[in-house]
Amino acid sequence: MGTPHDCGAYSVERMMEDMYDYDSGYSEGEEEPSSDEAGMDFLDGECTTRTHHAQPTRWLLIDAKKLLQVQEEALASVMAILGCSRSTARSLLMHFRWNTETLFGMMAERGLDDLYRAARITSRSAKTPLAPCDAAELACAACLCDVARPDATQMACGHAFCNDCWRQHLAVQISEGRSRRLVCMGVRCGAVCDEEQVRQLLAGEAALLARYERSLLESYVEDNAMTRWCPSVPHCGNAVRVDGEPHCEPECSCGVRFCFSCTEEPHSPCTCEMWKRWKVKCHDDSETKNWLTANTKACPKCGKPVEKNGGCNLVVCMCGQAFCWLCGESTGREHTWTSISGHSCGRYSEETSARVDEAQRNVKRYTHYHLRREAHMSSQKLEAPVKAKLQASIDKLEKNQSTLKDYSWLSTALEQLFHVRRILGYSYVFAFYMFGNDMFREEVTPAQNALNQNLFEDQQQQLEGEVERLSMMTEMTPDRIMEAEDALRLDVINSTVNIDTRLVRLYELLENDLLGALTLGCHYISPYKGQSQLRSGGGVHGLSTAAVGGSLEFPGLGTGAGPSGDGDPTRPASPPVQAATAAGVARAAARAVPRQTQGLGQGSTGSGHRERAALVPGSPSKRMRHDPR
Amino acid sequence: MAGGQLPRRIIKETSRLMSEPAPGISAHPSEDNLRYFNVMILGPQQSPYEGGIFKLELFLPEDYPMAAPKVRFLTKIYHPNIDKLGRICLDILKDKWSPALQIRTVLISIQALLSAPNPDDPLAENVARHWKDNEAEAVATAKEWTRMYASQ
Repeated sequence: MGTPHDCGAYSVERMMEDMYDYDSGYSEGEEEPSSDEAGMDFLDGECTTRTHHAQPTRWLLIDAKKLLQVQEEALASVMAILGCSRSTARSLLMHFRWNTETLFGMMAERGLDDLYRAARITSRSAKTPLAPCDAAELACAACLCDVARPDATQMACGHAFCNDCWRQHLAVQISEGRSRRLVCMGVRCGAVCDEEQVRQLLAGEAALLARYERSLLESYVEDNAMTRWCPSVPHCGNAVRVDGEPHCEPECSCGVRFCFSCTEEPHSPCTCEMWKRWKVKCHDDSETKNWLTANTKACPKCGKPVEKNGGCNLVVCMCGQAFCWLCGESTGREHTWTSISGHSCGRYSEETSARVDEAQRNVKRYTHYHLRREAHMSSQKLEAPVKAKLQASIDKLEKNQSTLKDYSWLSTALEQLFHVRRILGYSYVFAFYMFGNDMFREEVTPAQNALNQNLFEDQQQQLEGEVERLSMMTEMTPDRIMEAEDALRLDVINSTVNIDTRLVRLYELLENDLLGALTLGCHYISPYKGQSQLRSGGGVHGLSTAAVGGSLEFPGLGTGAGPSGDGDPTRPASPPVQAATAAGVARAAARAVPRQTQGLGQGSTGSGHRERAALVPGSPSKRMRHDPR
Repeated sequence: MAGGQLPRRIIKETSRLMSEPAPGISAHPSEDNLRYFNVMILGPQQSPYEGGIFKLELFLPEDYPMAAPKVRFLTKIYHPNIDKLGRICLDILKDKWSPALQIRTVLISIQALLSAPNPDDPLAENVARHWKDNEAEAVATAKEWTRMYASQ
C-alpha cells in the first residue's frame, strides 16, 4: 500500500484478516507518519481550476420581526404588479408557495384570469350577478332570520349573510385551523373571504383575531418551499430562508445548524437519503440481526442462536443438543474431525454460503464505517473543550496585552478543525453507501466503483493525516500561544490552508465525479464553502471571507506582528520558497493524485511576506500580489 | 353559542320539516333531544332500493349550522358510498358543507345518492368493486338486501 496510513480505507482482505481485531490500524511494513513528515504540496497550481460552487448559497435568518417584514415585501410586490387587494395577493402567494417568480411567470404566460382560477380566488358562482342586497332587510340563509342590512356582510363573491352567522362561521373555521383559507358560506362557493372584512367581523374577538393573524403570518414559513423553521427544541421562533440552492446547512442564531433539505442535523458530505438510511440502521437492530444470521445457527431443539466458537462441525448447544453446523440438523455426539457418525449432509450449498458471506460482509462494512465515524465524532467532542480553553486564553491575551497581536490564525484553525472533523465523520457514512453495493448498484460498475473508492479514500486519508497534525498542534499550552512561536504559527496556518485545499478537492471529487456521474435520480449534498459551512456574520474571521475569495486569508500574517519583528516589506521573497513551489508543481505534474509528501513550511522562519507568498494556494498572480517585487 | 338553548334556526327548520315534508322523506326530532332526528327515506323509484324504507339517524352538532349535521344509515344497505356501519360518503356532509344548506337539502341529497351510486368515490371498497366489475349482479344484491332488510 502506497500511503503511509490508511486504516480508514475499507478493504475486504483486511477485514477478513482482522475480523476480530479492529484496533490493528497498521499492517506490517507500514509506518505511522510522523508529524513532521506530513507536508504540504498544495502549491502545485491546481487550485486555480476550482470550478464548483461559483455562487455560494445565501440564506436569511428570519426572526419574528423579520417575518412580518419579508412577508410584507412579497405582498407589496404582488399587490403593486397585479393591482389587487392584500387578501387576493396573499391567497395567490400561498397558492404559489410564496414564490413570486413562479407567480409572475404564470401571469405572463397564462394571464390574470387563469392565475386567479388556479389559486381559486374567485367563486365558481361569481359569474352570477351579485345578490340584490340593496334592500333594507336581508334573509340570512344560515340562521333563516331577516336582519337589517347594516347587520349583514356581503363578500366579494356576492354571498351575503348576517354578521352573527359570519362570526360563528369564522370562529369555527379558525378554531379548526383553517385560518389561511377562510371561505364563503355560500353553497359550493369556495371563494376566499377578504382579510379586511374578516378583521372587521372579528373586531370584538381578540383571541380569534390573534390566532388568525398569527396563522397568516406563519404561512410565509409553512407554505414556503424555500423557508423552514429552525428545528431547535424548544423552538427558538426563528426561520431560515434560502435564496438559490436549497442544499445547504444554515445555522440559526440560536446555535442550531441543520440541513435545509431534510431539517435533520447537518450531514454533508453524505446525502439526505444516505443520512436517513444511516440513522435507521444505527437505531434499529438490523445489524444485530445480520450478525446473528451470519454467525449463528438456531439450535434444532431449543431454537436459541448458537455461535460456533471453533472446532469441527459438530456443535453442541447449551441445552445439550448436538447438531451439524453445516446443515443445522440434530445429530448424535459421536464424531471424528471430518464426519459425524450416522449423519452425512456433506453437501456444499452455494446459496447458503453466499448469503452468509454477504451478511458477514455487510456487518463488517457497517462496523468499519461506524467505528471510524464515531472516532471522528468523539475527537470532535474532545477537541471542543480544548477549543473553548484556547479561545478563552486568546481573548484574554488580546485584551490584556499592550502590544497589538492578532491571534485570528489560531481561531481560524480551531474553527476549521471543528468543521473538518464533522465532515470527516459524515464522509464515512457517505462512503458506506457510495461504495456499498446497495444504493447505486445499477449505476456504477464494480470496476468503476473500486476506482472511485480508491480515489475517495486516497483523498480522505490525506485529509485525515492533515487533520490529525493540526489537532496535535492545537493541543498546546497557553504560554506557547502567547509566545506565538513563528514556526508553530506557520505550521498551524499551513495546516489550516492545507485542510481547506484538501476539502475543496474532496468535495470536487464527491460532487463532480461520484455523485455527478450518477444518472438515475439526483443526489445533492450541501457544498463545502457555502457561507453555510461556517457561521455567518462576524463569528469567524478568516473563513467566512474564504467563501467569497476562494482561498483562506490570514489577516494576522501581513501585519508583521511576529515576535521577531520580521515584517520588512522591502525584503524580497527568499529563493527557497520559490524552489519549493517549483518542486510542488513538478510533483503535481508527476502524479495524477497528489500525495502527502514532505513540503515546505516547517522549519521556515522567514518573513511574514514570505509566509504569505507560500501560503496562498491561488494563482501565480495572487502570489505576486503579496510579493513585494 | 348557548348550550341548552335551541337556536332559532333549528326550531324553524324543524317546524318546516314537519309542516311541508319533502316527498319520500320524513324526519322527526327525538322527544328527549331536539337535535336528534329519526329519519326515514323511501327507496327512489327505478333504483335497486325501490320499495324499501330506510331508517337513518341525524344529529345536529353544537356548531350547527356552521358545522355539518351527522347522518348515518340505520338500515343495512348495499351501496358503494355507504359502508357497513351506515356511514355516508357525501361531500356536502364534509368539506363542501355550507351553513346555507339545511336538513331538508341534506336528506334530499342522500335520496339522490340512492338513485345515483358513485362507485368511483367509494366508501365501501368491496361493494364499489362489485359495482364496477359486474353492475347487474351488484344491483341484484342491492335489491336482495332491500327486500331482506328494508321491507316492512
